[in-house]
Amino acid sequence: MDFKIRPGFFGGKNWWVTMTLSVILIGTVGIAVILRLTKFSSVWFRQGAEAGEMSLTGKAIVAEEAEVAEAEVSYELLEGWNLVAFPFSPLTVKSAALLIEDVRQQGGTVSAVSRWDGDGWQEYVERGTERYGYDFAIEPGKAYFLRSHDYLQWRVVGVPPIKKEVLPIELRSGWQAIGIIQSPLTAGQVLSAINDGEERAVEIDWWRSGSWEVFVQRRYSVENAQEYGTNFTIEPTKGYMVKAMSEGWLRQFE
Amino acid sequence: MRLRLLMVSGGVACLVLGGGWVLGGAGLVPQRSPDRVQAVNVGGYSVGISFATRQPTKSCVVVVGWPLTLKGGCEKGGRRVTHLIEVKDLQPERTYLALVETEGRLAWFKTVRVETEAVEEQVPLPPDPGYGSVVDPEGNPVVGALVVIYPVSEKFYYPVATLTNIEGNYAVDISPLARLSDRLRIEAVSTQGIWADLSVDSSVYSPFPPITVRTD
Repeated sequence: MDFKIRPGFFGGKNWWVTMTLSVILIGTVGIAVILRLTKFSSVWFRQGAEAGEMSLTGKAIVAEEAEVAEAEVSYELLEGWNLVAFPFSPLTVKSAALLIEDVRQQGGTVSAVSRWDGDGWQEYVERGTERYGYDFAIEPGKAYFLRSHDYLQWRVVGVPPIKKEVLPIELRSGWQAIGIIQSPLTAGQVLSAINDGEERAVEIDWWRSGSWEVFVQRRYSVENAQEYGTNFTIEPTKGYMVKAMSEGWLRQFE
Repeated sequence: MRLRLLMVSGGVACLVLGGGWVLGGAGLVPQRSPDRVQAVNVGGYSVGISFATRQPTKSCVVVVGWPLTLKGGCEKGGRRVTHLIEVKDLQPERTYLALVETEGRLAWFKTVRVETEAVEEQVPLPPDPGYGSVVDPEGNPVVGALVVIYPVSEKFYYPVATLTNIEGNYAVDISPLARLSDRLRIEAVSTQGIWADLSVDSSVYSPFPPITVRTD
């Protein structure tokens, strides 16, 4: 075959081929640049896996504006009960049964998943091939107790929410099991955000491998507000129990 | 035309015309009237009402309280013998009267009084799943059996209840019961309305032994 280099880059028979390749190249680079420039608020965290302490690692991503295809969050499941939450819509663990299967595929064992129904725990259990109770959906913004039988670095893939589309969490009187996406936040900031000058929520707790770490915020009068316990840092992959005195909302990213 | 007895929960009986009763070992037993009506899964904001009927029915529960509150719910799906209906949006530490009616006939109703729990001061206990299976005498799973778990205690405490899943298995949180008593009594009613029970140590490692119920 005889190739001839003609004068002028855009001239001649190969002009359309060159243009097509250029458009593809420019398009690819452009998409890469757009993805690179897309703003995320992201938080990396890691807490020491001391003996007997539940510890999670992960990256919680919330897209500022553009939609992000998927993200991965990592949990350190310890043997025993782990109270977790999902900072996005999980792709691989859409239900309690799928969660147990996903953990199994990653080499771990979770036998029970419990969700709070406002008054008590609803259970889904698997032992061997037997399934006990009714499967239920796994949703962001809610907390779930997982009964793990091994230590496992567990990875979950999901679709991060767009910041402006993160729905507020409705709090009803009594105890709630919630997950909080916004970070960094402290327990006190969460209660203050719910209370908004009133006293709607007074307590937020997280499960510290066998016992509750408690933080209480009371407003006895306008001048007298007291806090009790350690004002711990909120982590998007952990679940929290919040006690509300009256109905309220937790609005995030506002 | 057959004679039918209309019996209200207080035990008052009168004669009316129609069907819906069957002659059983315990005498005339209503086929569609709710039997063993009780409050279960009682929390601060919700209650469950469990009962059985000898024939498959569609049932509803209406809960009345004071200050005037009227809440209720009906079963979804087809007619069934074992029933568990949850009523939500109640208030803690209130007394309610739950009225169970089947097939839309007030003639087949029963009432049960229930007091909702106080909201716990302490953060709730972590879950403690109690689970097991309900089987027939041949060992086949009984789907849709009603399972009710009580603490064996001198003090009254509302039981927890659920229906077995498609594999004849159940799972409920027994953490509120396990702290009240070392022993639990588990009752099951088959889809034919026949009861069986067993007692277990609350510390017994789940799954609990299977409960065998007759289904004939």
